[in-house]
Amino acid sequence: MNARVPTELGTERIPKLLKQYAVPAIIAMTASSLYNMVDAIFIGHGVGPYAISGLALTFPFMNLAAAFGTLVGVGASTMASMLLGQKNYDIARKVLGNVVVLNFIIGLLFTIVALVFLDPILYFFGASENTISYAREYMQIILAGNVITHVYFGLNSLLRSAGHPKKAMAATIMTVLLNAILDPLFIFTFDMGIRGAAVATILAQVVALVLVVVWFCDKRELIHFERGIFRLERRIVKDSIVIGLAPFLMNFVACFVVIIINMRLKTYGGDLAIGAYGIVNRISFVFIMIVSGLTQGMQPIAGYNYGARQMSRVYEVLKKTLLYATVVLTAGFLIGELCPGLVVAIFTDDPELMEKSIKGMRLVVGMFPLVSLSMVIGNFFQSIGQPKQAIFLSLSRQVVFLIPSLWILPMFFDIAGVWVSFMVSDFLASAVAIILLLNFIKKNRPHEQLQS
Amino acid sequence: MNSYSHNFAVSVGRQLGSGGRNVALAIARKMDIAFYDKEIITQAAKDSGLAPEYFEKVDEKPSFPIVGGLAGLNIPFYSTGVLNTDYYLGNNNLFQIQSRTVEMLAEKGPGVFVGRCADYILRDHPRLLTVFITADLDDRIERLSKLLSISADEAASQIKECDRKRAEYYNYYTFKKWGDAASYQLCLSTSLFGEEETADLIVSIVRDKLLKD
Repeated sequence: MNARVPTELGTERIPKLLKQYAVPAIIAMTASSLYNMVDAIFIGHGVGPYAISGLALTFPFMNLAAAFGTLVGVGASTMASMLLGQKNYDIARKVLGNVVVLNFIIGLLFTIVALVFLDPILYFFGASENTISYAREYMQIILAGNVITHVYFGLNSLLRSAGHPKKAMAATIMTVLLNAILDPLFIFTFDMGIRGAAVATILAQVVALVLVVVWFCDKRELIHFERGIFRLERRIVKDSIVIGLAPFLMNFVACFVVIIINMRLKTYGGDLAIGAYGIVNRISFVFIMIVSGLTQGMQPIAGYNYGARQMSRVYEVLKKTLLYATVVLTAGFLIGELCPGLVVAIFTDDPELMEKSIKGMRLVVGMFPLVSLSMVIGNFFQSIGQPKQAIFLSLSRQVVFLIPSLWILPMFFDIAGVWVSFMVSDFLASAVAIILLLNFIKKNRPHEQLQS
Repeated sequence: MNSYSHNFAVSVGRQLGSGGRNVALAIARKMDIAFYDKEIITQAAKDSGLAPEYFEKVDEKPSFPIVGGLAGLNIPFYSTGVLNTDYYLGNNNLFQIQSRTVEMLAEKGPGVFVGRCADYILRDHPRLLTVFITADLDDRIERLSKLLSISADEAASQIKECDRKRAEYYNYYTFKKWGDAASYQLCLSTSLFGEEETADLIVSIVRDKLLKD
C-alpha cells in the first residue's frame, strides 16, 4: 500500500493520478485475460468445436483452483506487504516460505481429489458423451501440473507485494507469450490435440516458476529463500486463511454460478451452447478486466480523498472512472453488436458454433454500457470503507439477479432466455448501484457544506 | 526544551488501570521531554491529511481485514491471478501511516511513547528503552473505578475487555506477545513501587544505560 504518498493523492490532478494508478493494473488485468484466450483460440482451430465446449466445461474447475489459490495467496500478500512496510524482514521471509509449503499442500490435495473424481465432477459440471473426453484430457494434465500453478501464482503475488510489481508483471506477460508460442507447437506440430494446449500452459508456468524462484533466491532481496523459513507457523497459516477466506468464498460462489450457467445452456442449447458461452465469456472478459484494472486504480484515490473529507475530489475521480469505464464497455458493446462474427471467428470456423456464439454475444453484451455502474460503484464503496454495499452489489449482479433469471427465462424463451439473463441481471444491478450511490450522495451532503 | 547528548525514546506499554500513563507522564515531566499518547493519532491525522476519526476507530483495537477482503471483488468468472484486498482506509494502511508518524516524532527529539506498538515500530532506534507497566488486578480495578467513577464490577469488565483488545492489536502487528516479559526490556508493577517511584526507576535507568557515553 502507498502509505508514504498520501499528500499527492490529495493534491495532484485527478486525471493524472488515475493514469498513474490505473495503467499498471489495466496492463496486468489485460495480460491475464489474454492468457485465458490463447488456449481457446488454438483449441478452437486446431481441435474443433466440441473441444471448445470441453474447455468451457473446465471453467468451474478454474474457479475452484483459483479459490484455493486465493485462500493462501491473498492473506499472505496482505501480511507480507504489512511486514515489509514495518521492515520486519525476518517474519516476511517466513511468510514466503510458508506460502510455498501451503500452496504445495493445498495444490496437491486438490489434484488428488479432483483426479480421483474427475469424471463424476465433469458430468456434474455439464459434460456429455461428446465433450467429456476433451474436458478429461485437458483437465488431467492441468491437474497434474496444479501444484506448479499454485506455487507459481502464490509466489507471483508475493513478488508484487515485495516491491517488484514490474517483475511480477514481466513473469505474467512471459507466461502469456510462451503459452502462445508453445500452443501451436504441441497442438499442431506434435499433434497432441487438446492435451497439447494443457501441456503448453503448464510448461509456460514451469518456466515462469523457475524465473520467480531464481529471483527469490537472490540473497540481496529483502525477502529470499533460506533455511528455516519453510516450517509452517501457526500464526502465519491461521492469518493467511482468515484473510483469504472471503475471496475464497467469492471464487467458490463463482464456481457454482458457472456450473448453473453451463447446466442451463446444456439443457436448452446442447453441448455447443456451452462452447458458445466459452467464447462469448472470453471476449467480454477482456473488457471487464480492463474496467477492473481501472477501478483498482481508482480505489486509493477515492479512499484517500474520502478519508481527507475532500468530497469534490471523491466525486471527480468517481465521475472520471465511470466515464472511462463506460467508454471501454461501450466499445465492447459496439463490437459485440456490430461485428460479433469477426471476433468469434478468432476462436472457431465451425458454422454451427459460430452461429450460436454470435447470437449469444449480441444478447450478452446488450447491457454492457451499464455494467460500468455496478462495477465502478461497487469498487467505490469498498475503497471508502463501506464493504457491505460493495458485496451486495457484486452479489446482486452475479448471483441474486442472475440465478433466478437463469431459472425462469429459458422456460419462456428457450436458449435466448439463458443469454438474456445476463442482460437482466446487468440491468437490475445497475439500478441498484444508482440507488446506492444516490443514497450515499444524499447522506454526504453535510460533509460538502462543511467543506465549502 | 532540554539538552541531552543523544536522542532517545522510551516506549511504555501498559495494562488498563495500572497507572502506566501517569508513569509515562512523570517520566516526561522529570526529564523534560515530549509525551505522546493520543497525540500520536492526532499527529498521524495531521501528517496524512485524513480525518482523525479513522485513526480513532482503529486505535489500539484488534483488526482483521476480513470484510475488507471480501468487498468489491467482482466475482471472477475464472482465475485472474490478481486480487486486491487491502484498501486505503483499511486498518493495515492506517497502522502504516501511524507508524511513520511515530518514527518522525521519535526523530524530532527525545520522547515518551504510550502504547500503539511504539516499542515495535522504534525497535531499530539506537537508544530505545521498552517498558511495560502492570499492577495487581485489585489495584487496577480500584484505580479505574475511581478515575471513571464507576463500580468495581464495571471496572473489572472494562479491564478484561481492554486487555483483550490491546493484546490482539499488539500481537497482530508486532508478531510478539503483549504483556509478555520477553517482549520488553523492563517490566514493572506500580503495586510494588507506586507511580512516582516507578517513574524514578525508569528515569535513572535511562540516564545510566541509554545516555551513557
